[in-house]
Amino acid sequence: MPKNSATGFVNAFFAVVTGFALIWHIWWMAGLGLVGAFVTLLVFAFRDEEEVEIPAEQIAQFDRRSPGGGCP
Amino acid sequence: MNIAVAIDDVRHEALPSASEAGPAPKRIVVAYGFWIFLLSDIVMFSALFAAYAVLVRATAGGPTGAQLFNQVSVAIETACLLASSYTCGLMSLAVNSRRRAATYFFAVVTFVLGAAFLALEIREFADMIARGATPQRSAFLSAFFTLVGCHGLHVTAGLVWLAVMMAQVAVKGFRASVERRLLCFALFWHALDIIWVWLFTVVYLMGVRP
Repeated sequence: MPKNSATGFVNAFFAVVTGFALIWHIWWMAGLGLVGAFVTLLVFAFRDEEEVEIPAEQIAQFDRRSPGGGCP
Repeated sequence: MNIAVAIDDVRHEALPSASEAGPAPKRIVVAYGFWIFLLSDIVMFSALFAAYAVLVRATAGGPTGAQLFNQVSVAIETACLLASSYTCGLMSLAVNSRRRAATYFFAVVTFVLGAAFLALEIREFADMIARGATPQRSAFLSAFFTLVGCHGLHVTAGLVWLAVMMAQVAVKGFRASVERRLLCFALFWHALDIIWVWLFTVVYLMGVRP
C-alpha cells in the first residue's frame, strides 16, 4: 500500500495561497506559493519509504471481525 | 478450465491467463497512468489549437503572423527540440543499461538543448512585445501567446523535472522508483516534441502562407 502522506493537504494550502495572490495581483505571494508547492513536491519525491506492507494475517483478522468489509 | 489444466499443465504454468496473472507490474501501471495524464494534456492542447485556428484571422488591424514570425529563429528552435528528444532517447538507453556517466551526459545535453529552445522562444516573445504585438493587441495574438506560451511552460516544467531527476539519480541511484520517474519523464518530453511538431506546422508554417 502507498504510505500515508500529508503532501496533498500541504499542496492544497499552497494552491490557495497562489490562487489568492494571482487574483489580487500580489506577485511576491504568488511566487512564494509556487515555491512552497515545489518544495513540498521535492520533500515528497525524495522520501525513502514510499510503501507500507500490511501483513496478510492482519487483513484476515479484519475480514473475520467484519465480514464483507462492513459494507451492507 | 480444469480439463485444460490437466491436459496442458506446462503451457498453462508458463502462460497464465490474464485473470490469474495477478496485478500488472508497477512499471506498466505507472506508464499507463502517465499516458492518461498525457492524453488529458493533449486534449487541453487540442482546445487551444482549435481556439487558435478560429482566431488566426482576427488580427483587429494589428500585425499578422506573416509579419511577425522569424523563420530562421523558429527553424533553430525546432532543431534544438527535435535533437533534445533524440538525446532524451539516448538517456533512456543509458538508464536501461545502468550507465550513470552516460545518463548524466545525455541528460545535460538534453537540458542544454531544451534551455536553448526556451531562450530562443523567450527572445522571440520579447521581440514581438517590443514591437507592440502584445497578447492584448488582438484575438489572434491572445490565442498565439496562450498556445505557444502553454507549450513553453511545459518545456520549463520538463527542464525542472529533468534537473530534479538527475539529483535523484545522484542521491538515490537507479532504484525502481527513480527508473519509473525517468520513464515518465521520457514520455513527457517526447509528447512535448510531438505537440511542437503540430505547433510548428499549424502556427509557423501555415501562418506565413499568403
